[in-house]
Amino acid sequence: MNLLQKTIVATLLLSLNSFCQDTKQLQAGFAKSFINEDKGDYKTALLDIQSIYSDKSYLVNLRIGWLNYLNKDYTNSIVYYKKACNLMPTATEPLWGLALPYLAQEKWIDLENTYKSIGRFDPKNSLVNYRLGMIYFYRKNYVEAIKNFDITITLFPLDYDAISMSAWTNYYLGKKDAAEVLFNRILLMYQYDASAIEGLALCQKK
Amino acid sequence: MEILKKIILAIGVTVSIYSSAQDSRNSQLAFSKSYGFESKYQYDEAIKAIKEVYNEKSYPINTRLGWLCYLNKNYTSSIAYYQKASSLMPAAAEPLWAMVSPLLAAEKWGELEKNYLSIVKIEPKSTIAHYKLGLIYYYRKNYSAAKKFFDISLNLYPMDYDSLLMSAWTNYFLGNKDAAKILFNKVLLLYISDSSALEGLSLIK
Repeated sequence: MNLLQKTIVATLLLSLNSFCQDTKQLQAGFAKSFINEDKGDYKTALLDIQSIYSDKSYLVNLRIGWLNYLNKDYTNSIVYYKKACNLMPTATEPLWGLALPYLAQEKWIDLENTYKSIGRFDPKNSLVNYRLGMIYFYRKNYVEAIKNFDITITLFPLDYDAISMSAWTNYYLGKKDAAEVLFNRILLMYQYDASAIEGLALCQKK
Repeated sequence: MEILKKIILAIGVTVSIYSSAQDSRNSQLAFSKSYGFESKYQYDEAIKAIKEVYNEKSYPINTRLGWLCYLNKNYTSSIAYYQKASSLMPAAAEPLWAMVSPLLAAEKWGELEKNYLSIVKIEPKSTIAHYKLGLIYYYRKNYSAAKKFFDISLNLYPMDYDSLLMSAWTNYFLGNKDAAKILFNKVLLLYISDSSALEGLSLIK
């Protein structure tokens, strides 16, 4: 083996050693951070991860996003979740994470956009469609709300929340027959559901 | 004559509304009774209560019977009712997810696989359905097929423990040892002493 070959092998061995060392440090950092998270000590849990920070690591950025959220530092939580989103642009996992600090800050437009991004990857996701429906319902945009609730209810026709919201949305859209069918479906599941009974009474008013 | 027509129409509509309202009330009462029996583990009685108002065109009734027959360990009937529910609402994933339990209990692996494939047609990004399909192929040692499904799951949820671990083993058995090593190491980020990941890594070394 000539000198050049020996140098290459030595460099590879060093680099492998460094990779193993980095991996071990990462694993130790995560393990310490989980223990501190369990104790509710989010600041120390964050320090554990920040000591091994790599801006190219999806897992590290996702974890910091989560820990900042737990620590109620929503601004930083959003920053790190966005970094995780950029590192794995086809993943919905960091978008679900990103929704948490937006919700906590009541940033409804950002939340809507985040859910829409999830919906672009996963248009038949019943939860994201339900949540988007809720956003539009509370804005009294019933035309948009019904589109999303319809997707959820088509996939899960006996989902209590989706049926209930779909019933009320139909009622506000003036579709009393459809609302009545849905309110009655709720009463199959919960015979004394106050919201469904109220809705039915309103539908039956002339 | 016109007055007569109007009277007949009015009576007809009133009777039909009354009858439909009566049907709804009867169904609600039957469901309520059936929930009561179910909570006391009296599944035969719970099934009987629903059968008294049985309507083959009703999705909620067929779904409920599917569930109660499953609880009553009558898996063949459970599957039959869920299939009826599914044919009544062919765009719904709900009855297909429900059908997983009796298919699993009856160990009907071929049908279970078909059922999950039907789910992914309806919910093309369902991480759970993709993960479960991956598992079915993994246990059949069809690692190429397993990898396709685990990849989809992992792509959507890169930090999901189960997908990471199964994907690592699948890559290992496919001879993709570098990829397996990275994935086993990711598992160790989540659980530093995970015995399966440690075993996988030791085999690679």
